Order: sequence, then C-alpha cells, then structure tokens
Amino acid sequence: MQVSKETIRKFADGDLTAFPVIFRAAVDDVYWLAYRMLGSREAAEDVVQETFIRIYKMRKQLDPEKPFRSFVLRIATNLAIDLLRKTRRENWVPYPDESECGTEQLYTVPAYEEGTYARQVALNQALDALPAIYRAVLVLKYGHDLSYQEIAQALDISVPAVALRLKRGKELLRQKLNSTAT
Amino acid sequence: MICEQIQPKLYLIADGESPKNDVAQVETHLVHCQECKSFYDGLMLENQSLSAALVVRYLPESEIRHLEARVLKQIAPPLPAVIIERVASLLDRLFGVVLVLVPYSVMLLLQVDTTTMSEKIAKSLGTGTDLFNFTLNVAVVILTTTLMIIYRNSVSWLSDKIAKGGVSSC
Repeated sequence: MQVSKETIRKFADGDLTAFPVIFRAAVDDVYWLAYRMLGSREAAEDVVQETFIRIYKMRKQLDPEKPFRSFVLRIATNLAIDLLRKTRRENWVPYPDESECGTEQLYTVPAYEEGTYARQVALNQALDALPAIYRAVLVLKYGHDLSYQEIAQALDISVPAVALRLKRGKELLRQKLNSTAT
Repeated sequence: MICEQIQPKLYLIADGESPKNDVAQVETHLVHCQECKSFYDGLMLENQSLSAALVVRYLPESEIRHLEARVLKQIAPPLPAVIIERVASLLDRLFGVVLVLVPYSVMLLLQVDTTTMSEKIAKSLGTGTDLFNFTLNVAVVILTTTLMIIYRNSVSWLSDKIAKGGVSSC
C-alpha cells in the first residue's frame, strides 16, 4: 500500500480526485484482511465499502505524517471484528491462562510440513477456527507484514500484547492442526 | 541461559522483532542446544507457512472496478443533485450582474410600456403622473431588491443542503 504524503494531503484538503488513487492503493489490503477475518467474499466486500466510506468521512482528520496503512487497516480490522460479533456471535472469552500453556508444548514440533495441499487446506481451516483477536494479529503480521508496533497501532493495544497474542494464536493453531492430524 | 528463557525470545527473533543483543545470545545457545534449534527451525517453517497462506494477493481489475463503483455510489452525490449544485453555483456567480441589470431592466420596461397606462391610473387615483411614476419606481426597486435577497439566500440554502446531503449516511 503505497500512498504519497502529497496524495493524502490533497485528499485531506478536500481534493476528491485523490480518492480513487487512495482506493486503488489500499483496496487489496483491506479486501484480503476482511476476507481472512470473515471467510466470505460478500462480507469482505461489505467491509471494503464501509472502510472507504469511513476514510472518506474522516478525510479531514488524516495526517500525512502518520502511517496511512495502519490507519486503514485499523478501520478495516475493527469493522471486520464488529461484523464477526454481529454475525457469528463469537465467544469472546479469552484464551486460557498462560499457565495452561505448559512447557510440554514448548518442544512440540509445529504441525507444518513442506506445503502439501492438504496441509495448506488444514492450515486455512485452523486459521478460520481461531478466535478473531488471534486471527487478526496473525493476519496483520504474516499476511500484511506489519511490525509489532504497526499492529499495536492498528489494534490499539500494546506491543507486548501483540507478541502475546501472536504466541497464543500460534499455540492454538498447533493444537488444532495436531488434533486434525491425529 | 536456560531453554525456558530462550523460548519466548525465539518467537521474537523469528518475527524479526528482537534486539541485536538478544539475537547474539540466542544464536550462541542454539549452537549447543539441539532442542531449541529444532524448535526455532519449526517456528521459521511455521512463519513461512502462515505467510504463504495469508499473503495479500492482487485483486482482478474487474473486482476493483466493482468495489470502486460500490463505494463511489455511496459517497458521490446523485446526478440530479450534481446538476442542481452546478446551476446554483453558476447563478451564484452571476448574482452581481443580475442584481444590477434586473431592477433597471424592469423599471425601463415598465416605464416604456406603462406611460399611457400610468397616466390613466394616476388620473383614476387622483394623483399627479410624476408622483405616480416616482412611487412606482421606488416600489420596483424595493421589490426587485427583496427578490434578489430572497434569491441569494435560497441559493446559499440550496448549496448547504446539497453539501450536507452529498454523503450518504451509511
């Protein structure tokens, strides 16, 4: 997602010719984030639409000096999580205490092998089954290549919380993959 | 450094988020500890698998256009509003010209067309023709100025209405 500061400044100043440039620069990121979070094309399109309407409405608040990508992905992530809450009524009980993640898991070889198709499908299914807060950090980190700092900004959480959610998310993934493999 | 202390750091190192000092310490440990080394290799493979599964792909042009049209439909004002806005903007720019020309044109037309008629009316009212023409001119100026003020305010109101209603409230 490459949008020049000049384009953002023009857009913030009310030059709407900059909007299509911003849309085209960000639409792939927003669509795939929403698709990974929600698992359906229709829902991803709804999130894309609502994200850009919000960006349009908030254009005067845009600061060209602040990272635009985090700003966009933050809106999209929050919308996707809101939609998940409404549609799936997910159980938002957090992952069990860290004490339950015993050291016996520590040296379990992660359930990934050189990518067979079946493994890839299993991985996607395990990702879809993760609670949204873990799926969000995994998608932002490995799908969108955001740093911990950027993810923290996007989700409005601390950097250590990002690290913890990534670790727990991976542990949950391994559990799910190992249980499907056996 | 014991293995339990190394493990949390391995996650950070695999994600490229660890300070250089930690990396050097952990690398030294990994040379001697096969268990941690295989765990770290597993993490790297896990990250690669996740990146491959979650990669952001380019959307086809047809899909981008479809999504762009959906968004623009919501944020762009409908066509009639655009036309009204342009007409209102044009009239607004011409306001000064209209303000000067219209009252004098009306007055001239009335004076030319109504010379005979105004004499008849003045006679029937029992007033002098000059007094009637003067009163008529003053009335025309007041009336046209009032109309211009109403017109001007209507254009401003219309423009505000369009500006506020331009963005759909989704």
